[in-house]
Amino acid sequence: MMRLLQLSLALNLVLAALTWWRADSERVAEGGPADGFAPSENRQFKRVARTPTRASAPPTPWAALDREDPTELIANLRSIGCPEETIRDLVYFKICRGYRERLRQLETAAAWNWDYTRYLGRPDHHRLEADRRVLSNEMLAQVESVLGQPFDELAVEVFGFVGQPAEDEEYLPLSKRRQVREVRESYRALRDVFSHRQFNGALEPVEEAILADSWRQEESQLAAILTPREFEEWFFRESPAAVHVRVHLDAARSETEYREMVRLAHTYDVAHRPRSISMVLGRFGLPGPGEDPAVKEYQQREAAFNRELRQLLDRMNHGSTIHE
Amino acid sequence: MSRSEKSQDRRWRVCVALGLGLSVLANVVLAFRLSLPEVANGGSQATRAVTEPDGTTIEVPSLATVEPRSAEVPQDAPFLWRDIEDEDYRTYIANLRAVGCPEIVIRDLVAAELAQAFTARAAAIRRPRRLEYWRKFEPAHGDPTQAELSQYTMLLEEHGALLEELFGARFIQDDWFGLRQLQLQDSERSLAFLPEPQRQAAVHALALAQLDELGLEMRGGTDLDERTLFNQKLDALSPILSQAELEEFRLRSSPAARAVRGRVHYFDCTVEEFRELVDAQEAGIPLANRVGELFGPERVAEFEKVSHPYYQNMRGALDDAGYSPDSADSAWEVLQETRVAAAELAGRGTLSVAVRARQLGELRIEAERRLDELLGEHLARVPQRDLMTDFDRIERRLKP
Repeated sequence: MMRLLQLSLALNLVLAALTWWRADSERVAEGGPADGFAPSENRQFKRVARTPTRASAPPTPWAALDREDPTELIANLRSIGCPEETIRDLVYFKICRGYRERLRQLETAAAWNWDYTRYLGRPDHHRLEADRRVLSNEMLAQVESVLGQPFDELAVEVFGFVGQPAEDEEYLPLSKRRQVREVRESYRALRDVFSHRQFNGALEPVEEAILADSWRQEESQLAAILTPREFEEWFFRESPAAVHVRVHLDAARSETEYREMVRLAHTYDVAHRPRSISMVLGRFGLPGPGEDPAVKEYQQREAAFNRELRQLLDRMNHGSTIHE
Repeated sequence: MSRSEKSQDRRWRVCVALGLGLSVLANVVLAFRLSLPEVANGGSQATRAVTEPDGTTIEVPSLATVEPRSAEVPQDAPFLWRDIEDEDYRTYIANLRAVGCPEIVIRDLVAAELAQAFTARAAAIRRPRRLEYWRKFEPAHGDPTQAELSQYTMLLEEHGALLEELFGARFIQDDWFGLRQLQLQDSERSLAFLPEPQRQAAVHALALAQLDELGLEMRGGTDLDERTLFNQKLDALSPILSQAELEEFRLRSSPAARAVRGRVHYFDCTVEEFRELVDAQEAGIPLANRVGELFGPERVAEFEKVSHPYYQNMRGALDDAGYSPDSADSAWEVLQETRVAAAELAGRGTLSVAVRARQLGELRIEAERRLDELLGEHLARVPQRDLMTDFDRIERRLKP
């Protein structure tokens, strides 16, 4: 029995030493002073104590578990039994407030750099807008990756009755949203550069070609990221042809009819109107200054599209009448 | 062995047995303590399987599927959440404050909990209506009725009132709503030039003043409405900002400053000169007159040129395309000459309407040719469009 006691006492010592070592290392990790490091009263190099700064003040219980890294914060909150909904809210706000502060810094720098005797130049304006969007996309990506849910859904859950439901990206898998947003953003920034002159119908043919190509490139990049089924969903929801059908054509009577209309609009490429002076003047109800080959070509294409669309709708309407 | 020796031996054995028991117990306690996860160093993250729209399954961090870990709560945890929880919001807030939770975190948390608690009531007023992706957007689609709107507004006010009661009058609902997406309120952006303490105080002061800026924007108020709103902002900010800060706010954000900026975008002026022009605009003095006084009569013509919308349209397009300002000046000369000649021709009553219309057409074609030469076919479209607008107006007004 004596032998057993000796062994057990030895084990006591080892375990006690390990426990002390771990507690000590945790204190060091938290930035607090470690036991045993207090300066000896007998040291001869005495100094006048300085006023402790805020950083060296003893941490509050909250500070002991709060972390910059959201995944560490989640683990710490779980370890004290925090309810999951509360963890979700806390982490959502922590990330969003952090990005809001970054946005505020961006706006502050822009405000300081702005010569307010004139409007912000268009290139600076586009750059600022792009920076804002990049920051926003980063925030969405971080929230989604940490909380494992689409940002829109989370915002509705967190904000309860004041949440704003949005379903623009509902067809996209969570794992691809960030990539899709990045692709969109890169082409949007390119198009911004041309937007003013495009609005005025003043783009050079080479610039018109770059713009037209940008839509094709965006489409092929998205096709590379998405599965065929996801890409099809993108095509019917967000492609230029889909937007054209929803904005410029009469309302479809069913989803099937809508999808046929989008296919047709895509085939005839009616979404990409040449922005020449004739079109611009037409918008103001004024006659154009003569014949423009690009406009003429577009008008012919549009007329053919309209003819085929009428036939399509007649067929579908007839079919539905028979069906009824 | 004597009796006393036997008795001593028995006591010794009891002592050893007791010591062994205590030692084993201590080992168990120490081993258990060491087996607990460390609080502050992250720990493993739980995941859950999520089925994507394409049917594949991925692992994502989980919030909903983790079991409560009451058995694993470390003994050295800074506090336990169950000690914070309380059915009474006041106590809950006090508990959070007691553990050192930052005030902004408490506000976010409580505002969210209250908003979540109101969800069922909001749904009873009006279920959110989704517009299927294939439907054409119509502004009236899904708009709430007047009755729904007023009930919802009451709910919103109740949420705000509860928060104000819990946190005092300084709870800014709009600031919190802004976290639904990454954006700053307009007022916050307009005050971004201020150093930090003043900026925060100024944003609060504007929020507390509860100025109906959004309402005015939606109603499309008059110039007077805008000026009144801006003066109310100045009143709200005057107790907080210095005179110099208020003045800078005026020069950056007042309606008069915006109007002047629109005119002098291509006109070089110092901040001091800009201030003089803003003062003139506020006093209703024509800017060209003030420019004449400030810069001399020779710069009035320049001011009138660069502040003209046609010049600004053209200059903007040329700047974007990398042309020098000289090109805009040359094209402006063509525009001005043509516009003057067209006005003179239109008023020549000795000629019939048909003759004047024909000559106006020739004048326009000549101007377009010259603009094509100067700027190239595509960029020339910008001044040509403006010229076309002018000619169209003139031709429609031709009188015999």
